[in-house]
Amino acid sequence: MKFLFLGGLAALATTAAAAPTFNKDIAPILYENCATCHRPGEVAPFSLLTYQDAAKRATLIATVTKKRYMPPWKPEPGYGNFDHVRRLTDDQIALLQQWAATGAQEGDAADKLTIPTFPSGWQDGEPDQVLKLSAPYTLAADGRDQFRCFVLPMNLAKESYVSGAEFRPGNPRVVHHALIFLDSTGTARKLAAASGGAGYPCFGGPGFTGAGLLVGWAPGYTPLPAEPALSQAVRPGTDVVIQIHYHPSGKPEQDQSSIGLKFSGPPTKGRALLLVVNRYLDIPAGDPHYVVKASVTVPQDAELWGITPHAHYLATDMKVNARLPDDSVIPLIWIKDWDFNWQGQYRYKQPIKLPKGTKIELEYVYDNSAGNPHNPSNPTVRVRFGEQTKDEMALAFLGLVLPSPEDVQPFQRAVVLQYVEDFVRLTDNLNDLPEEIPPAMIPRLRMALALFDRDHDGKLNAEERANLLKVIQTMMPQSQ
Amino acid sequence: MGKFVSVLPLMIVGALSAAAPVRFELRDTSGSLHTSDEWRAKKAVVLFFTMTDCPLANGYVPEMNRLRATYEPRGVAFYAVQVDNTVSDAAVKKYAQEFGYSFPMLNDSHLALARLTGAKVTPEVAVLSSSGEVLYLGRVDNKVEDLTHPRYAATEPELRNALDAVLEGKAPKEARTRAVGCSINISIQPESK
Repeated sequence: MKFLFLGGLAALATTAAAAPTFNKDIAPILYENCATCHRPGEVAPFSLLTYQDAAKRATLIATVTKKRYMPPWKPEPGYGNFDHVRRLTDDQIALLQQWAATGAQEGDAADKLTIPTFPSGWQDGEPDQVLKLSAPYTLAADGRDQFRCFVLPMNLAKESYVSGAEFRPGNPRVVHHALIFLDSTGTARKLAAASGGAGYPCFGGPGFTGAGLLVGWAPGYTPLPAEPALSQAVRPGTDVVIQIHYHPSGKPEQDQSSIGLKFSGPPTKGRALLLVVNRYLDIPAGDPHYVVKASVTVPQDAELWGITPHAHYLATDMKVNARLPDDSVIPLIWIKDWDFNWQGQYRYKQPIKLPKGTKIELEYVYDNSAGNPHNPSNPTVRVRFGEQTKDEMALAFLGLVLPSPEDVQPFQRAVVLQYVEDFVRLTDNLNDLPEEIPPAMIPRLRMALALFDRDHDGKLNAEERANLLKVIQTMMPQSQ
Repeated sequence: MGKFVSVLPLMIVGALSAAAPVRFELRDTSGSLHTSDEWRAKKAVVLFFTMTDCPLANGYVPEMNRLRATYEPRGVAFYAVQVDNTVSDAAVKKYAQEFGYSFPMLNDSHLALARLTGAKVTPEVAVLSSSGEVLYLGRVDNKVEDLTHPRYAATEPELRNALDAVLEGKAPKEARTRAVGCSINISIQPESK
């Protein structure tokens, strides 16, 4: 039908000719993807709610979206189906470019959208307990980013169950991200006291073993609703430890962040944090492509709810896959262009079923050359595992859910056994036991190591190691 | 225009013809008048292009204050040039105080200084001769050459290098570097009359 065909062409021509306008084309993109942070009082440096707000930054918006610097979203599409994805489509990015190039027009008033409203205060409703830094923390005007841990006693009278946790930055201008841990060992209190106050410097981790990661926060993070089925048992004497990454703003700033907790009854499901880690990385100075692998086998059927990959400044490419017992592979996450400053916790839209025997395989790539602008060492140096800025890490936290709370202990025990196996397989330094191994196990483990160290030289030779590994393997749960 | 006096049209004429000195007359946030006369006795002039809500520019304020402390005694004049004309004079004044600028902040409402130097983003710095010739234009240092991959620490203090050269009577080795930051939206701001 010739007539219809021509009509179609005319419509196309009109669309192509019309310059995009704020009211019709741009506001929907900004409101959907940017306004959570870019609104008054929030973490972003400026608001993008009105035409005036956006128009004067049209070029900046075009630049940072084209480079995918904004919105900050690191995972590659197609590798993990995540909730709350903040990633613009190529078409949206093209529209933003066009809008800036054609003079950032406001457009027809009839197209104007109502400015969205956002809930103020706690996003998941009033918490049962609010813990706040005991005093404002003062951050200098400039200098290095600061990583500080603050100890907040929960003052519990009896064992309680935490079902939800929501972090609120006190001063969003300087709070770059936060991780919240539970410490039942009293170590964080001691570290804080030794530092002369309620906090202590902590770059790579909170500095105590068996730290339960409660929740994280980064700009744009949508807090999880409370989940009573997955509540966490907390003993009296437990402290909340908040690790905050501060980014100086150019003027002296103060921050007094807080965390809101919700309590419930005991959990009906099991909750396990599976750590995939390689602590034996050893990156030569100047090496532009160093590959680190690690794996852990899931010892029983589990559901994967979320993933938090972690490394420091040298990592460039991070991949975590699940290899199922039938050898099929489910990609869990791929970050092609890791940026320490934009690390996130990622939640799957639908929990991923991981049958018993599934192997979680981590493969991270590091660039320790002078050509890596993120490299904290100049000149470059040999880099090993550690908590300091110039050390590296290779790990991923996987948030798993098990059918019943009773499953958690055997699950953890089976995982620890794998860490022991890795330790025996990869190192011979008996004095360098990794912190994934619970302190209570260490004396017995030392005894076992001493027992297999037949020639008593403090090290395991190949034969001694093979013998010990055989014994450990008989203790591992059978995967098939 | 509030209490800020706009740049005189002559200034633009001066910029176009290399021989004629730039004419300059602007008030700072405390109301003091600054004119091209005060440049004449200087060995160089530094313009720091900034705006009230650009985090990259704000992060450089302490470094700019340190640079002023080092180079002002050696005959270099420092000015901050605020290039967002949608912000009220009162807000600019408050901003200058909050961030503790130790040198005067001029409100470049018509972007005359941005046009004169060719500055496109904040933070960006220009080093001018006493007659207004642009000797250096670009970044303060190379910490952020690529927005998505900032260096852990700067390895080249490019503004310092340029000033050291100028004070020795030489041309800076690198007269232009690429500044990265918040775009100055010249296209949609009113033209200088």
